[in-house]
Amino acid sequence: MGAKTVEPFSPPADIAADELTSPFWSALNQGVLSLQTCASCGKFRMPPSPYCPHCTSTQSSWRPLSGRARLYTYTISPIAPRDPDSPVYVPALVTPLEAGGVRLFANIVGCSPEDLQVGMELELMGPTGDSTAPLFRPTAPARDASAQAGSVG
Amino acid sequence: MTARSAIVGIGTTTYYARGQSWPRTLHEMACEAIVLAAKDAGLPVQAIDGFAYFAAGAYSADGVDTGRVMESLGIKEIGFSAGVTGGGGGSAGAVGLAQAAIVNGDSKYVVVVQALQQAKTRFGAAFANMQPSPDNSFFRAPGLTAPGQFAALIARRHMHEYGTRREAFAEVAISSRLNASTNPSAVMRQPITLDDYFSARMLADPLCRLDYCLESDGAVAIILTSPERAADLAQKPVQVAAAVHGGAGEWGRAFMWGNTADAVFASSGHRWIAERLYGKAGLGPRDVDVALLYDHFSPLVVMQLEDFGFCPIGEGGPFVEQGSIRLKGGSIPVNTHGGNHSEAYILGITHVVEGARQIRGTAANQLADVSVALATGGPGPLPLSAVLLTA
Ligand SMILES: [Zn+2]
Repeated sequence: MGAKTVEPFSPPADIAADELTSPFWSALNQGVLSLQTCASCGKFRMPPSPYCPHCTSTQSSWRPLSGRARLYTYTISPIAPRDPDSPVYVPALVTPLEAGGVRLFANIVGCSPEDLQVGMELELMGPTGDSTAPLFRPTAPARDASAQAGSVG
Repeated sequence: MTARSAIVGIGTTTYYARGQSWPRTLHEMACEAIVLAAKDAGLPVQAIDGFAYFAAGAYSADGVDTGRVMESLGIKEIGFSAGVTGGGGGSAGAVGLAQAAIVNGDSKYVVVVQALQQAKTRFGAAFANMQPSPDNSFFRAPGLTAPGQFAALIARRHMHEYGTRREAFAEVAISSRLNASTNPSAVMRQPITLDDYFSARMLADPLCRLDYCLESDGAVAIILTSPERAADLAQKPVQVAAAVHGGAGEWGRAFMWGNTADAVFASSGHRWIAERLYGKAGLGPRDVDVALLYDHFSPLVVMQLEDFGFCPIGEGGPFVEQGSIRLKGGSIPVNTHGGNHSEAYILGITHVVEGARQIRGTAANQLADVSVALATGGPGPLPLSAVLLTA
């Protein structure tokens, strides 16, 4: 796919939110990664849900995080599948560092496809253009991340 | 373990490339498959008194409707009409659902039906066509619009953890097409090479076009009854040694969840199914002569080989690369009909058809001495399913 810089998904998807999920999107609009945690046992969960899967509590709160994460896995897709020269975007699963292994779907931006490595360190970008997705970029030049593979990789 | 039901009739329409079945209708194709299955069994179609489905209504607003089929075929009464929830993961499970109706005494002759006509809504873009919801916004926002992208996320993780190569995924596509090349009912019969694979368009890296199954139109019907009644019918009965649907919560919704447990993320989700299936049947992977593995995306075939115990976890890549799944010379021939990749994609139920034909001895690419066939559904959101068929 060449040495292109990966772009956010476009055109941006419309977001639908309800009482359970809107805190995530509101925080993201402010450039903050915030995840739902159980008010009883403290564990994170994603996507938001009415019950804690660990203790069945319905009490939860939202905890802002640093926005630092690791790349768990990713794919690379053309934005315009019928155009061989289409820019590409990177749907990914990322693991926020402080969330006990919980993952979220995101786009990786700010690098070329060749820089992507499972396990690489990422940081949340602030609101960018029209994109509605959580956008993460590498925190440092890509390096061999094989030593960091594992449960939080 | 004594079987409690048997497959006695198989009916299939012509398989078409997506959209090519028009102006036929879904209802008419389903009726044709049912009529052919009854004829195959040596039964009047009106003897059918139960319907078992999977993925009922999940993707098609005008799915097969029991009442309408009864109306068209003059079926007098039914004692059972139900579907396995979820999507293609339940395909083999519909066989177990039919067995449940028979064992419970609700019905004598139960037909499993699946029909697909994709002219209006493409499967490959299933998630792109969804209206935004609070739940799907989490994966639609980053542009996860197609099932293949979710499969790619799993495949990438398998490559990372075990060193699996794209050559392994290619082998699944190449061997499936080779099998299809000698199956007259297959939609795609032109053999492909490794060069073809590596020059195919990347759709969701590491998945290219040839890692994807077909999009097809057509209908399939499979009639089951008790082993006692089966003995009096036209075909050699195919015994259902075990049928399982379900799965582990740590796999859950899998694709659209993103939080599958780390230990099973790079898998097909089938380890739970395999353990229960083999346990119920009193059989193991060494007993299986042919494996019909749900192949919507080729990397998930590699992972099913691991999860069903044909090779150790993580070694599926080298296992397929050394020719283990080939029709000729493979230790466990896989998708002898060409699978969803090359024969047809009728939500995976064609794997049960091929398993039954291999047991009967009537498959297009018939293997010698088949006594146990495995057919699977999924991998995708729960429930997953699988069936073991025996002579
Ligand atoms: Zn809790």
